[in-house]
Amino acid sequence: MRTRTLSTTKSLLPCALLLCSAGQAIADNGLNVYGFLNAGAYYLDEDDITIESYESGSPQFFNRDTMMGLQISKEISERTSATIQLTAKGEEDFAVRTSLAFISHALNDSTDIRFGRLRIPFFYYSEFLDVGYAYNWIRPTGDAYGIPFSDYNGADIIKRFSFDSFDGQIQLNYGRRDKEIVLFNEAYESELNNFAGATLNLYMGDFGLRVGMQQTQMTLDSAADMQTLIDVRTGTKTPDEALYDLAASGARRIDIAQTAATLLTNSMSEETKETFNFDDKKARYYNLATTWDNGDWSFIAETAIINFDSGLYVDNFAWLASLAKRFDALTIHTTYSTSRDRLDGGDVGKVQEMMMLRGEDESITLGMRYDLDEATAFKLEASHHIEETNQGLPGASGTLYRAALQLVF
Amino acid sequence: MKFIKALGMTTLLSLSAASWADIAVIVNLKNNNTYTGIDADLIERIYLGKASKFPDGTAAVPYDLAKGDSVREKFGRKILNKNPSQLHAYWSRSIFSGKKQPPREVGDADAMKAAVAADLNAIGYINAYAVDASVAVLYTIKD
Repeated sequence: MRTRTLSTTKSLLPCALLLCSAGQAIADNGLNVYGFLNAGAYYLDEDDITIESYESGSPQFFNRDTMMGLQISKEISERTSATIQLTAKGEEDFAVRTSLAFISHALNDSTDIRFGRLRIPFFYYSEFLDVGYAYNWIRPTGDAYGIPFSDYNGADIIKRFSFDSFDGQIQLNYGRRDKEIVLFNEAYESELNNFAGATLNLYMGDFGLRVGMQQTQMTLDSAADMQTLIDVRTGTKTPDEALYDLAASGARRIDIAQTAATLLTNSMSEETKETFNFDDKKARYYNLATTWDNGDWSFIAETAIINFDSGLYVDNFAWLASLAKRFDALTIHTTYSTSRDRLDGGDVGKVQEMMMLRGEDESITLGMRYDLDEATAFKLEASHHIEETNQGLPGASGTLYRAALQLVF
Repeated sequence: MKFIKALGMTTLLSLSAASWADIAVIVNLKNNNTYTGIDADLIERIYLGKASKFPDGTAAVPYDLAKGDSVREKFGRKILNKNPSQLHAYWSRSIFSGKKQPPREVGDADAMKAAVAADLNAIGYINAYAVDASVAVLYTIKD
């Protein structure tokens, strides 16, 4: 047995050396392969609330909060590299998407430019939103992070700087997104033109500050239904009947809203009428986040404000505050978050009120993260979600229980 | 007498040399910052990718020991205020955002000294007893 092991070792040695040199060649070639994996289960105890796309009923396994990502970077020269990141999500039947695909070039030691497909740096966690291992929650709250798209094609420039005892980073980005968007589980063809933004990060000791703004001109293929408008204008149906029939026919939610808005704004100014569509309408995203982390205690407070020029989408003000305490491999955390829609003023606001677009909710989350090893975390979380207003009416409350295993490699 | 002599030697050694468990932060012999020194805060900022220059304004390129190395773990806890999981989570944010990569890793103290001796901008760390004439000590992390 011993002899056999020895002879195996002998014969394996040249192979091992070969492997070593192959490994070295990979390292020398600057090829880096990284990945992340989230496997999650959840149970939502209340039918009448909506928390993103979590469904009530029996516990769900490896559907939502389940995904895998693979990232490959290759150094092309000392200053230039190429990166691709592919992701597959359980809720999308593991269809593979290209979430990052860019060339990065270092103009100097402190400035990088990137071209290609990038993630939109909306808020603090946006650029690594899918990487559960990178934060304490199973997923950042949908109150602030429920934006239905995350990537764009374009370029950004990142400049790092230091002054005395603080460091900072400025990121300027510009591009467009010409892809389907899924809203309320329905697909819309969309164009997000002139996607432009600026983000400033400052760090000093345990403190961090992030200020950011993004804006775009948004076009969706939503439209008012002509037949419904004709039925109402000719008196064939009452507005309520016509809209009910339109909804029953399976029309998309924003098409129904646009049809309703066309009827409601009939006697209003052209400006008000013109507000209720998604033809090249500006959307703006503002972010302010402060963080503090001394290794044992960590804290983040963040506001995420969205302002839509289209009356079909209501402006939203969301914020969260989260505190975490680490006990060696165990981290306990608690979070409060809230999302409040804000109706516009004047006639536009009146129409939004009639269309019952407003939602207001708050969530309290208690969770734990246990680091099984240097790259694997097990997490448990309970989020009590209170819907104060849902589509203009009083809502319900319920609790979402989640468990997940999240790792990086 | 012999015993007293030995005791004296030990005391001398412990006074003159670093403790066995100290960590030495090392740079290239031609690095000018050995005259002015560096504080732990700047070492932390360089290793977390926040700062990229030595006090004299020259570029600082950090090198890490391999994952699982006890010196790396101690360096992480003492200088970066992070355990290995926290450090991994910290760099995951940057890696998967497609931004700065973590410091380059080297296999052991000898490889670290070789890397630092070959790179004018390098900064590394090794167990203090492994320091030799090929590198300069910029800062000592006391055990």
